[in-house]
Amino acid sequence: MRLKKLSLGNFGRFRGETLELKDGINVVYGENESGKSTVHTFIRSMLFGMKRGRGRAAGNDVYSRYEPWENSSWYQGRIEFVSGGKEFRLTRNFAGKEKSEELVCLSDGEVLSVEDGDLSVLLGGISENVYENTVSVGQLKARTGEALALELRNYMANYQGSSDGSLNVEAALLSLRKKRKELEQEIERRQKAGEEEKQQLYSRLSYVEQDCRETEEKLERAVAERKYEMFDKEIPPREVRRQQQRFLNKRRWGIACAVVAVFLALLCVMQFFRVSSLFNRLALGAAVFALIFIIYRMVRHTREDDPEIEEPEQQKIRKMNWNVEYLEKEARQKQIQCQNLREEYEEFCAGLTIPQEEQENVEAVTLAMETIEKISRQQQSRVGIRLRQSVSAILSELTDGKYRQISMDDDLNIGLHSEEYYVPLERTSRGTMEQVYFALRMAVMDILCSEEEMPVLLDETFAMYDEYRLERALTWLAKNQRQVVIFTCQKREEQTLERLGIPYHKVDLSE
Amino acid sequence: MRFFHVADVHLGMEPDLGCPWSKRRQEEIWDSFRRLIDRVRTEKPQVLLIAGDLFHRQPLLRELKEVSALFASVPDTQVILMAGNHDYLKKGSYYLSFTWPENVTGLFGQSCERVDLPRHSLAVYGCSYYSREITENLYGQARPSGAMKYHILLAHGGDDRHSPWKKEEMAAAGFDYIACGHIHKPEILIPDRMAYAGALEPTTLNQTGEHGYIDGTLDGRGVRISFVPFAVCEYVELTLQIDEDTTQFSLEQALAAQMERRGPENIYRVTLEGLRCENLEFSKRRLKETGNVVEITDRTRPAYRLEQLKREYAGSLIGAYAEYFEGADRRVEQKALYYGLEALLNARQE
Repeated sequence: MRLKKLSLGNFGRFRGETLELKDGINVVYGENESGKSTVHTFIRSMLFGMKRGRGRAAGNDVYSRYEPWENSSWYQGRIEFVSGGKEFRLTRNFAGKEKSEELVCLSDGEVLSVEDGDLSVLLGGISENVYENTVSVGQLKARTGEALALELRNYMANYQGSSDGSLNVEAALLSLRKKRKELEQEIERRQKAGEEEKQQLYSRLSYVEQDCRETEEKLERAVAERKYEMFDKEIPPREVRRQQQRFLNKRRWGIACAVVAVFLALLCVMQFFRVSSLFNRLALGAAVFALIFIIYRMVRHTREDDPEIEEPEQQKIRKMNWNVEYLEKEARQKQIQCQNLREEYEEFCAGLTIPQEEQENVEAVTLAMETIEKISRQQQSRVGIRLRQSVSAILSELTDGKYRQISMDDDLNIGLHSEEYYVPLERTSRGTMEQVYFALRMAVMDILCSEEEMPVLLDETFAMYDEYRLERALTWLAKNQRQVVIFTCQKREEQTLERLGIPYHKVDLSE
Repeated sequence: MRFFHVADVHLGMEPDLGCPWSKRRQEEIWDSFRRLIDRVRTEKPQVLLIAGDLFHRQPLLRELKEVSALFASVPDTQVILMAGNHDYLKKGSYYLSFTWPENVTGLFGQSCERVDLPRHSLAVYGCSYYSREITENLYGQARPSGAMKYHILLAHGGDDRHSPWKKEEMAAAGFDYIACGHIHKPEILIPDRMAYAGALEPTTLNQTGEHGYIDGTLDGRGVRISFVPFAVCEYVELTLQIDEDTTQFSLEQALAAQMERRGPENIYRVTLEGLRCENLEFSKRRLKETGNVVEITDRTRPAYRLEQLKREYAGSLIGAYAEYFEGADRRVEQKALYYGLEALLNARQE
């Protein structure tokens, strides 16, 4: 693709400005603030549209920055370009609601559709990202030698790994690794909390279990004691005799009672038949005496017996019965409590699983890392070797054969090889580093824009070049590129081109 | 004849163990049961049916005493209860040795038995669990019998490991009403014929929606039942829509407002949906501390416009990466896509 005409209808500070570009080298000259970077942005916005930032980011996005200073509802531009031998005209209106684009083939009048990807085909399928990495070449940003070397190194590494000079794959992987660690820590924290809860339950359980065991032991002891008291304890013979005696006594007094009663009844009969009154009186007296004696003995005996109805042994056994009964109840209650708690503990343990969502997040981050590494490796094997060959070839031309080869080891250290010696990139001069950068950019262009040759836009790329290097670079460009647009605020490029006798087209923005 | 049908009260359970409201909920379950007895006292249904799992685990003696005293306070209502899979009749269970008040009948047989209530011309059928799981249908053989006019079956279970049954077969047995327990979600299986009362109070986070008991009437015209919401707390699913302007603070505010509106006593399961601002991640811990939030599911994704990204970065790693996950719809892949994109886009030095 080659750019032919840029019409900045209403864009940033430009109104109705038209810039003509030719094949070969174009020099766009303009002092600072004359709108060079506006032209840059214009071309990109025309080719790829303008994406609006969203939310809070919208305030400072490209759209707002280049919104026309006046009459902002009319915010548009037009470019004409050649692709595949045909001329096209692309018109875009950027203004919010009236956003539209129109692509017409001027050669045959066909109206094409940007939305359906016709423009993309004309651009050889390159994306905005690739465009930024190829077509548009700026300057290295770093100022000191060391930082410069580092920047360059990253660029090269990034290109190799991602075909995107400003994407640092290592940094992305590092941030993912950090992310994964955070997630894992969260899981660990959650598990620890669960574990603490489990421990609490467990200590409650073991307390209750201990308590239950103690009660059971108490019960066992009480039962054993009672058994001993009831069966095993030998009652002494004297006590046995005494008890037998008491039984016999009771019987004897009962018999005596009966005898007196019979005697009294006999007396009554005798009274009835009026038997000798003296005998009668004597017998009555004896009976009364006997009765009194018996009653006295019985009363005394009962009194003696009274405390013995409940013998100490029996009392003890009864108390023991109460105790056993109480302990049995206690033990049962505690056993049930214990079982319940054990169930709860077991259920809690079974429910202690790794939080699923968090686990899934960890998996997702791991998958992301693996995928990035995989794609990066693929890119590297696809791009890496070709890139180095290409850079070496271009660098060799730029340095007139001084450096013939560039190398990059696994630690991403870049080195330059001349015929006789090897120099690590850090030790070369700034000028050489700029050359390496330039060679890199041009090489990338070769690789990434293989379908459709794109123009090269150089934005103050040669500001730090010395005369000799500038000459070599311009010579290389004139020889190798079909369309070059050099944006500059200096006259050196023009002077050098004239001196070298290279034809060029000049566009002056200051006019 | 009017009856209340409750089930799965799970007295003694501590729901959401480890959460700050767990103890409170344990008490609320007891309170709700007491309230239910109050309701019985005022509304005076003739029968209170408890379809199992009155207790979460083996009841302790003192717990049974408490429950028994409550039953004794409504002497005009005949209480019929059974042991379910949680409070099943283990050897030594107090259920068996306990002396119940006169108005309480336990269906503590191992197979279906009948209890006649001549006063209401009602026969209630049922049995109890003697193990945690019972894999054959306990009620397969149960048929109405005897001289009573009305017949109610008290059935606990219905899933694979707890007396599995087919509701159609159960209903065909000829009972006027089958009062079911075990499933905590209230559900009328067959209108005016067979229903799960559901748990009186919800006990775990998946039991969203209303909980309560069933109020039924049984007379010559048949059975009419209605569900009465009674629980003091509900598990509520909240979905919050996130957009690019949502911040942690505004999200917390929105969540707090929602919870205030839907009832601060409820317990919430929160799902975040939508597109969140790139590079922003919500702190789940802080959200959980906003109220009774038992669970947070983050389904948001960064507000990347994939198609645009793919177009913009075609030919370089980012484009290839987005392309790689094209059509991958496993959740973990979707997440990986966004984690990766976020890391890659942040790693670009502009």
